[in-house]
Amino acid sequence: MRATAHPGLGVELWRGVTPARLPVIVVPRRGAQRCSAAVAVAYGSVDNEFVTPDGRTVRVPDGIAHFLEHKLFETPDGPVSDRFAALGAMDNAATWHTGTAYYFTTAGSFEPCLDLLLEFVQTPRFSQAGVERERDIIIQEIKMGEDDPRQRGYYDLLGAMYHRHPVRLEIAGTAASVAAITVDQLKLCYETFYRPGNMLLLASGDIDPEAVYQQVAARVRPAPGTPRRLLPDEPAGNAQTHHARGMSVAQPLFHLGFKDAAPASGPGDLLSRETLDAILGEAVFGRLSPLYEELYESGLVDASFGATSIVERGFGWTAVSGRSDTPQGVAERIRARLSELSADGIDPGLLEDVRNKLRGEVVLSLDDLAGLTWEILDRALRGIDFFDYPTALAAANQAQVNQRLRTHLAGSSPALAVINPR
Amino acid sequence: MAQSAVETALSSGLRARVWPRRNRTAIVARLYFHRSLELAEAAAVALIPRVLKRGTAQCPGQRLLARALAHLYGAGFGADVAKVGERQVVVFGLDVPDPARIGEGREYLTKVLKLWSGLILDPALQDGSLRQDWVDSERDFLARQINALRNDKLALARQRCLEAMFPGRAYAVHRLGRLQDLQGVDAGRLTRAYREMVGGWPAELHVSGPVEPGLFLELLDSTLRLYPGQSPPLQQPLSATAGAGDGRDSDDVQQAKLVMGGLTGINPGRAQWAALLFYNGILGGFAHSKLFRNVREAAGLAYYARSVLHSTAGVLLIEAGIDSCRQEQATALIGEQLEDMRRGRISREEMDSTRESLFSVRRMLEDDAHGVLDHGFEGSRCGFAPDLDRELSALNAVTVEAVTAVARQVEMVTRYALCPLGEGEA
Repeated sequence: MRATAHPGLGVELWRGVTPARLPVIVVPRRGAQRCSAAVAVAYGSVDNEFVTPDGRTVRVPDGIAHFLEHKLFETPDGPVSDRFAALGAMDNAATWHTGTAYYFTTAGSFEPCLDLLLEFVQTPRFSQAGVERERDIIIQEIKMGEDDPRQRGYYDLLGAMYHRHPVRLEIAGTAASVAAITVDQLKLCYETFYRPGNMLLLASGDIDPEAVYQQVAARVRPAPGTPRRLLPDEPAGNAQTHHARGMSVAQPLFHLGFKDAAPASGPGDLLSRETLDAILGEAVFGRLSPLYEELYESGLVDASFGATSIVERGFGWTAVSGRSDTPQGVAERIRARLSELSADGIDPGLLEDVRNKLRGEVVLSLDDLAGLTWEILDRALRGIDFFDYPTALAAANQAQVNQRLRTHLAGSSPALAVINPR
Repeated sequence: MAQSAVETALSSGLRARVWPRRNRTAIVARLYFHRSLELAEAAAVALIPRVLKRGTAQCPGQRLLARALAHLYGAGFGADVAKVGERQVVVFGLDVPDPARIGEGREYLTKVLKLWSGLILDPALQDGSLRQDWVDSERDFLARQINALRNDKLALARQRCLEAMFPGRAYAVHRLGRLQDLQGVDAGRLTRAYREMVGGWPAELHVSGPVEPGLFLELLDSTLRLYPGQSPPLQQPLSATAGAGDGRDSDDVQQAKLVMGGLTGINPGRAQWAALLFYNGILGGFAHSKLFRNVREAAGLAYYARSVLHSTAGVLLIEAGIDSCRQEQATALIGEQLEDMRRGRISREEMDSTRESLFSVRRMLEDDAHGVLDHGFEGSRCGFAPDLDRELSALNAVTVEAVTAVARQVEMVTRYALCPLGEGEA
């Protein structure tokens, strides 16, 4: 294990790789009551076509990574949550477009919880009856999402931006795709993706990094090999420029998406875009921006207005969303403002204000160990060192920010997805 | 071991409680003003923090205020409205990076506190009143936000359940108030309400972070000059309301949202509080609970099936998202879990797991600065002084008999369902 620390932030990160090739990251926090550990797998909803360890090309039903996440909690001794509860720990899991993570948090004994986490993630059991029962639960989860207009708007936007890339698909799949998932397919996906070289372990709290590493190294079983994903070529433009649907909402809800025409590849590129997008998100759309002030003062948007960016290998976008009576009018005003900014560039004083604000937010974020752990994990899965973000933030210059503004935001036509009152 | 909270009062009489936490990277403060929750007034109260956030006398505009905060390394201000028991609370929040970590010191902290004080005590005025144009636009935005409550179907079902539980009573009011009460709220009326808030409502200040309490309070004393009113009587657990009953609506939803409401007669100020935490944990508060195991895992009826406490009010809500056609089956199964609790059918494993889980939850609260402050304020409304060791001891002493006694005391009064169109009654 090797420790690194960012000067000034007062946080240490310990890193190592076990003989079975599992990367281990530990964030020690002296005096913290809460300790946690997560096992993350670089396997998410986009990985629905791949080459199996024995060389076969396979296409599996949508939503299978999420189904697998649900199923891993089943053990011969009953639900794994009961065993965590007996140790005073809360366990959970999450699946997103490119990853799955299993985690626990506790203020009790860390070591037995870590053992249990490693055991259940490495020991899948799929009974036909268990799969059938879980299918019903997942269909209820999908229906819950169908009643959520923000979630619907998000997926409508992805569907409008992407022609073929599986990021356009819902993470949990559909009732029909979930109905088609079999026990054999779940086993195959597990065997393909759940390999130490495609996973990582992250632990945080008042814990000894070396002891954590030794415990993990002793329990991780080797499974060599790296999964090979098959992703379709994605055209640069949007699949649709406008999508609308009706739902039971009080006021139209919009998502305006700027698709990254040439997505990032390596970790350096990912970090650079993520940093520039964070700056632009605040400078162009945030509370410091003249655009937000103008839209808010004119009553076109309310405080629900905001922008988020996703930067992943192979895809990325900036989505601007909020409630408005006139989404089309908001979209037109945004495009006009981007055109002005493309010509004039971001005001240097504003850029420094944004940099100050984002720097302060990094310090504030360190206090929230749970949130910090997720940020470190999310970046580590994408090959980014958490400590490189504040450095990149300090280094981002005017020319880079303006260049990113011109290529990513001003240089393309956004897609607009609207949920209208029905 | 974490240092105990320091309780004191500023020279103005404002009660303050400070939790010094040296290993933290942020100083977090919350100033809570509160008043009796009243049906017709709630919306106007909810408007106050929104208008104040538009700007101060020193920074008369949202962007000016945002820039001033950016110059202070992203210090964050918040102003919002909450409902704690039968009190409506206007909360002003402050999140400041530890000055030591950004190469700053006392002068920086003084600047931040002055700006924060300006947000609360020195708003932008026009002819002695809050600006009419801001009041008008924020009234419109608040109306939209109240309307938009129907976008979140679970929150809507929860609110409708409370309305059916407490007809005509203050606790049924949403923290944002009612749409119809916003009409006629102009700058004059809102300014009067604002002046009453800063000049007479009870208020409390709670602070946590890497601060030296004496020094920090001295800085606050020189910047935050306000004279709060007398604290009202403590919040008692809510009792049954005449006319309470079941409710059912239909909406354009794919999944029925079932919410059942109960009265526990217990809040943190009562001796049975720790036993109520066990009751809720065993019934539906954790993944090892009866509702999760039996309604979700064994029967596969729901993605979520849980119970939650409105602690200050002593209200219990049971929530499940279920296939509409299996609603009766789910309700019956939930009823069986409640009956098992009443009959004391609680295993040793359930007790032990719940005790360990509650220990962890309470200990982990110490790491959550915002949670600690809210726990402190809610406690003070019930006559309950937060103390980690004392709370853990109380949890340690809870027996199955005590949990069963709580179960027998819980009175379920309302069953509410938000159903797909054509299945409910408007």
